[in-house]
Amino acid sequence: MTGPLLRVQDLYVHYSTRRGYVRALEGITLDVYPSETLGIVGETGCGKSTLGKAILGILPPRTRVSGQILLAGVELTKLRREEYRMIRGKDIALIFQDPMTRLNPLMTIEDHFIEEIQSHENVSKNMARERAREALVSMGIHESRIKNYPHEFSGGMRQRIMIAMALVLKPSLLIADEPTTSLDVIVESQILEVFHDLKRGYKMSLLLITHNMGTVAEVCDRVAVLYAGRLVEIGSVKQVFHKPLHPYTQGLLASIIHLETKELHSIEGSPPDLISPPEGCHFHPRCQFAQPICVEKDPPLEEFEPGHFAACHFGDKFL
Amino acid sequence: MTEAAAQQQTEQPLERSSSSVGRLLDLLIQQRRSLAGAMFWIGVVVFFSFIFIGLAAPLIAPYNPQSIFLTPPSQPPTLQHLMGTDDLGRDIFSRVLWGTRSSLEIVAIGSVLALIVGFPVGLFSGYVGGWIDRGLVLVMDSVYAFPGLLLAAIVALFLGKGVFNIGIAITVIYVPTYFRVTRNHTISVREETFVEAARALGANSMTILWSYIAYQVLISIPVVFSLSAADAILTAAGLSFLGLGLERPAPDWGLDLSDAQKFLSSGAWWSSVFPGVMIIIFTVGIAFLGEGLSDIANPLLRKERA
Amino acid sequence: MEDEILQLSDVTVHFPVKMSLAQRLFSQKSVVHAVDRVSFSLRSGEIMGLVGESGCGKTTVGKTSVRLIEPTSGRIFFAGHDITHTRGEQLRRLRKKMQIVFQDPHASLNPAMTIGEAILHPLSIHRLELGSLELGRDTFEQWAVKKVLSTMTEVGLTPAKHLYYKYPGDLSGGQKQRAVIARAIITEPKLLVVDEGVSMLDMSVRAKILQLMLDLKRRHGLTYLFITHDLATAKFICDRIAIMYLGRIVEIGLARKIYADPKHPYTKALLQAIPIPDPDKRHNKVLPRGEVPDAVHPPAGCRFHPRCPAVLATCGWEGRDFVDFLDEHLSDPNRAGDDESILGPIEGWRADGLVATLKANPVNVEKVVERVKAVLAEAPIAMTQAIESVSGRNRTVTVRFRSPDQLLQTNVQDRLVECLLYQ
Repeated sequence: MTGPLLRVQDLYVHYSTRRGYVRALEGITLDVYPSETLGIVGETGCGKSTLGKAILGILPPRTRVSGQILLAGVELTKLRREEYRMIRGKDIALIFQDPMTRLNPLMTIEDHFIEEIQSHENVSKNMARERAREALVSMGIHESRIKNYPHEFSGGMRQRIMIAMALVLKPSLLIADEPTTSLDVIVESQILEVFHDLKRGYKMSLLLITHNMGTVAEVCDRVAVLYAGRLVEIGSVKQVFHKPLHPYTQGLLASIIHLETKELHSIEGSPPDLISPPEGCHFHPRCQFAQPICVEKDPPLEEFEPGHFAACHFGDKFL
Repeated sequence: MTEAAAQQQTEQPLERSSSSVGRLLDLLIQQRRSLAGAMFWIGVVVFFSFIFIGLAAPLIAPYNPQSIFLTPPSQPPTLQHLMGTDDLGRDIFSRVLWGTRSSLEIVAIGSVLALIVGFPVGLFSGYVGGWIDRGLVLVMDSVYAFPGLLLAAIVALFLGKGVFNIGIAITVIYVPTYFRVTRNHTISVREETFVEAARALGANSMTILWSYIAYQVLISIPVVFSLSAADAILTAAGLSFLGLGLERPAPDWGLDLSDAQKFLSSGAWWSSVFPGVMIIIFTVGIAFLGEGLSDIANPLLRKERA
Repeated sequence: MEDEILQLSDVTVHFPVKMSLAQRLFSQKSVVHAVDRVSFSLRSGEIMGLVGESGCGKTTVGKTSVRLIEPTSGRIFFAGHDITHTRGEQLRRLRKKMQIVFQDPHASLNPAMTIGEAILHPLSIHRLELGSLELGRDTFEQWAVKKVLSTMTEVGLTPAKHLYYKYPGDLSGGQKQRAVIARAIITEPKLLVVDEGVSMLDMSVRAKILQLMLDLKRRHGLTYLFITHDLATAKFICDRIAIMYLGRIVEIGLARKIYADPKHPYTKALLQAIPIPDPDKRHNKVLPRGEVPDAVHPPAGCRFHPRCPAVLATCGWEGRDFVDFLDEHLSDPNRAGDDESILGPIEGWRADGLVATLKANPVNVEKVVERVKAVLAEAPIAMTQAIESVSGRNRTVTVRFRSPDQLLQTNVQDRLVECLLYQ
């Protein structure tokens, strides 16, 4: 295997609030390989969106960040603002949950594309227009609609436009933050198909941030599970879904309600306050297997089988 | 750390209890170092200093504001007369301190009356909507479109001079401001799910209006109050300046400024500068308070409705 | 029937489309067909699911059932009484018996009221019916607070005394939804409409809230109208389900029967689209094309027909389906060839009911007719079969469709399906 495209190493992100520092991310280390789709899953407040923002360098001011984020060998956290701006869009692109937050209602789709392209590349308007046209058509949108305004499109179309815009500069990494959450089941399925096709068509890595395990199972190659700001498990989708090693992952998978669900499962308790998280393993107050060592010692991320890592003292028990 | 202690920590977010007002106070204290916070607190200090001066004028003013000193009039500032004397030989320092009173009274009467009228009418108009709302908006907007000072001058002409009458003249100007803010806020709160939920619970319109909407809307009032109060002082001073305000020889900033301006050319700067400076400090102080409050409170309001 | 809690009979809800003054002056009044002639009934103690995508009218049906929205026509019965036109004090009193839980627990709670106050509020709203006069004010207050605390404990808001004084902002999403449920059940209603009550909650919390709803149903003999877009949750919790599409119920019946063997093509599509949380079960899906059309101008005949994979010639093809087809055809450079030069820009075509027309140069009319026929050879068979004639006269080319067959609800294997396939 070639080296990773994106390497996040020992990343800490602490938000400053009036009650103290919120430890949104604590020592995240993960790699994203070329052309792979990595799913980042977890529940509200686990830090998954923070991770996406940190990689893009769009964290709010007065946030403490430490650790390294390397994209193709370039250390992103050391970049100056202007340099980061050039990388954003060009090398890393982002797709939001709600496309309308990114689209300006007063600009046509064409204007959006031209602005996006010209802010990164020195090309003529006509060239930009041509590329915009190609990108739209590749997403299944008729080129005659390029002069339309965002509100003239349906939710699914807008998300396609966002994807087309993200792809027009041929980034090497695409970050999608809950890209289908606001869409209906059928449209969601259609967009997931688009992601499937992308993997085949473009040589691009996709970081898919979502709370929906079904989505992960359908499109991802590998999956990383976050809990309370920490990476608790990472491995191939098959490994994690069939043999979850961390009790939190097990609970999360069990609590999914799907068509074959016969009985309801849930995880007792609620996620900790990230200003003063519990000592040791963050999950221990809710863990049914917790032992004294879980309170005393932080479990490191260990490789239990090739490519399958978990941060649990008793990971081998579940192998 | 024991399990019990850890357990307690997971429950910690529940330990703080805060209403919107509590959170606003928290924010105001916490943000005292930010620009908006600093403006707010400067405004608070100025505002309360003036209230103190107004209340304590009889105690701290060295002379009766209306007594005439038989030394030659128009004395520049000396130790006896800190701000000098005016063309009639009255102590300007004492007059300026006493003048605070009339300004405060006018602002208080004007703002409170405007609130008493504008708030419920706005609440009602926004809640019922339809033709009643459109009619009220039309009336209020036409009043609003009138230049404030001109409108106040016309009302004052009809009512005559005196603190209370000027207060009413000012009320007329600011009722539309309170009305607009209240009405617009009511319309947005009316659409909130919790209002629909209240309807589903079987609450009647009165209950919904008072228990669910009024409180939310009330949060935006302090900002309007402080911003309109700053404006009201200027208007009151303007009315006095035009001779439509208080009766001479009552001590009043606007009136004194008006009387003093004709002596500026003879070099008696002190008799107009000091009342003028008072007007500026008071206006700017309250405006600071209002702007700071709106800067800090608005994100809070937004967050609550997010 | 005696044990029918709620019955909707031919309920239609149309909303006016918001228009500017100029639009109102110059164009016809148009309406959103949110709900069209929907009928169903809920038996006591049953959980009925109302499932569909956003904009299908399920929320409108829910709100109309508890009279938060006025139906345009049709009748609503609650426990045997016609409540379609109940209003004022009578309606207010009726609300004690039917409650609704909304999707967003945070937005459903007044941020200025403590949790305790919020849950107590329904009791003070209905204090006259609850006998506050007999009890006296103080005794009533004491009774109410006690009832609030016990209800809080029952829904799992513990320690109740501690949470009583918290504001909604201090609670987690799950706790807030528990508070909303407590507020809804404290007046001991018969019917609870749950509008996407768990879809905003995290997975691990969702199961707990569902379990709570099931427990409450058992203890209090509640009847639920469970509105959701999530077929998996509906399958787990519902006894019967109704699938809605664009304001119509397309399939309604016992949940287990429908899941085991969906009949309506839309139900099949929905079931197929659900992501399966198992990487070994990835499969290629046959998804319906496009998205739900605008409810201002719903398609003729079966509303699902333009997207339906099993569509027939008689399903309701009309002029604009042809225009849509032509648009798609012309936008594909491989197929279009020089069609655009003959068939003209797509903007030239007008669709009006069963007819699509194009104003053309009289010299060209014949040529256009020929070309339309040629292009139609590529169209879906069902559509081609539905075309009655393609003709050119004077300056107009006309494509005319046959009238669709009347769509009826048909009884198929213990359920009602509205689809010509089974008629």
